Amino acid sequence: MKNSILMGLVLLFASNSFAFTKKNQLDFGYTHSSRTGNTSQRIENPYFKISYDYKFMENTYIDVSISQGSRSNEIGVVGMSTKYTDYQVSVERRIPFYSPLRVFLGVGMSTEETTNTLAAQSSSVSDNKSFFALGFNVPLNIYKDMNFKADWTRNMVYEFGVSFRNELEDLENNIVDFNLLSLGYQF
Amino acid sequence: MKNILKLSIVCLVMLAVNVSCSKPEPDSEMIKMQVPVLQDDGEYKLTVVEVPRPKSMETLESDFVNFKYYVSSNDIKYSAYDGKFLIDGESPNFEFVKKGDVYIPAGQIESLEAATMYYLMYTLKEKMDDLNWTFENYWPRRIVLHSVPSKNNAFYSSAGDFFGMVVYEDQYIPATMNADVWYHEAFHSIYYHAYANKLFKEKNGYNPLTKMFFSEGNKAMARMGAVRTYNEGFSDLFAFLMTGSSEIMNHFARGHSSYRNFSEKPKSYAPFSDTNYVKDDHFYVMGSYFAKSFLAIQMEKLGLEYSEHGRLSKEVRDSILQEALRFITNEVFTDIYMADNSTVEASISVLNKYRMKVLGKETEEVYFYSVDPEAMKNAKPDEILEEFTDPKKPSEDLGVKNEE
Repeated sequence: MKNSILMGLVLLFASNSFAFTKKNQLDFGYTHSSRTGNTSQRIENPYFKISYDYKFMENTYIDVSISQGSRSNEIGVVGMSTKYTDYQVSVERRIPFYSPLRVFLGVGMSTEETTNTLAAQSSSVSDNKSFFALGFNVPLNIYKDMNFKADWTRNMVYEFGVSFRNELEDLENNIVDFNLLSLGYQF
Repeated sequence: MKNILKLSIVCLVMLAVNVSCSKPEPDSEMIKMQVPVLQDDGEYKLTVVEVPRPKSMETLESDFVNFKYYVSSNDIKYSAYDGKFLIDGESPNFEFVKKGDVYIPAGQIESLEAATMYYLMYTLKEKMDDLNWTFENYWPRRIVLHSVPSKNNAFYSSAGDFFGMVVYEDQYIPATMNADVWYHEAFHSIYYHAYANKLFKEKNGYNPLTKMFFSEGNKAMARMGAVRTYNEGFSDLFAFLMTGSSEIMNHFARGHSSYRNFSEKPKSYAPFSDTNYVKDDHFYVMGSYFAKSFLAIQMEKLGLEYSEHGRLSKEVRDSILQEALRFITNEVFTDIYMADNSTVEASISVLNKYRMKVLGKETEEVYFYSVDPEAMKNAKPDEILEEFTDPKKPSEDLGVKNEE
């Protein structure tokens, strides 16, 4: 994990010789999580994420995000369902790529509510897990000058990305979240 | 730049505090889990049970059970050196959430399935320890989840000495959580180990596991099927005596359970030949009859009515279990297995001989506990079959799809 943090820090602060003009960004995205099982009898519901990037320094942002998803399994009269909500705070750095590549390093908390059911009987329990996350988002729309013009359509950002997470209580328990598509608006 | 450094330091401090605050909990020998358990009223309920702490909550590995996923025949290896089977395969990653001091299965339904099997295997070990049933290389029992591409089944494989749980898509209590099914399959493994041990002793150095399970066309392997009726029937008896529920397979195979439950005294004998008359159902029908007849002999020996079998004390049930294992590894072994007589008629003969030996009286009826022996002798198989099956169900339901 130390290496991951170091790598993240290097990526975050590798270059300070460029500047983007845009300020904050609001994102809404769909994510697929690696929180999967070994059975085909599972329904993975969409995992949506909304995030807000607040620019507090040149090219550097504080990202606050909330994401929510669920999954359920059912065999015979027995079932299990889990709803999870993740809260994450990250430091995000925009570095030159085709257009600003967003690299982030953050910490967060995940609340999971698990319900076991047996016919009409059910039993629910909640659990909180904190995690460390490292990841990046790659913009799909490319800008020649890596800066944005005033045209509102040019403020739209389409991205995909990957986030690697480790639970802090159990560092070996890792999750990979694939940000399949997020739509952002910069203002 | 200073701000950035400050912020990164804050992040790292947060990480360090969080990690240091998550102290490992002190290990206790027993833990509590919530799993579906068969209740006295015959229904399953989510219940908190106490079980030994596994070596890892992620794999639920313990000295009595070992879980694997997706095993193919190439993953099963037998060591002639120590007589043990080894199974390679994907290790599971079960999840639990703690509510107070109770571990609640979470994440994926395999966690709930495995936790339930973990509990059932623990109860099996407790019972076997009580009965002093010890077999070489028996523990830990290996369980392979979703092992073969069939559905709605559970089996014990003597060819790898493991329990197989396949995908369940029916509408009842799944095999992985069904106590009847588990104890039924567990007794198959006990039976084979008891047999293997016996062969080992009587054949003076003969390696029973190797010969029985791997030699093509081996005599021992061929003869195993000869006593399959007893194997199936006494596995049902074991499930009944372990759960106390006479409605064997009621929650798993509704169309299959009507002639396998122990609620009624065996009233007739279906004179099937030992050819596969109704596919594999033959073994279950006859096995059930043998097991119920054996139970009736025990009840008579104890001076009890058959209808009292639902209220037997733990001590009485244990004594019947002891006698059941002795019976199928001695009486059946000697008279059917060794005599190379695998017919159903020979099985009936063994049962009647045993009755005379235990109760000290000749069999009064040609067919054991038959209400009308003459009618039974002359009955056509279709008519007999109706007595063992639910008349509401079409006969196609008899195809064995749930139990092996």
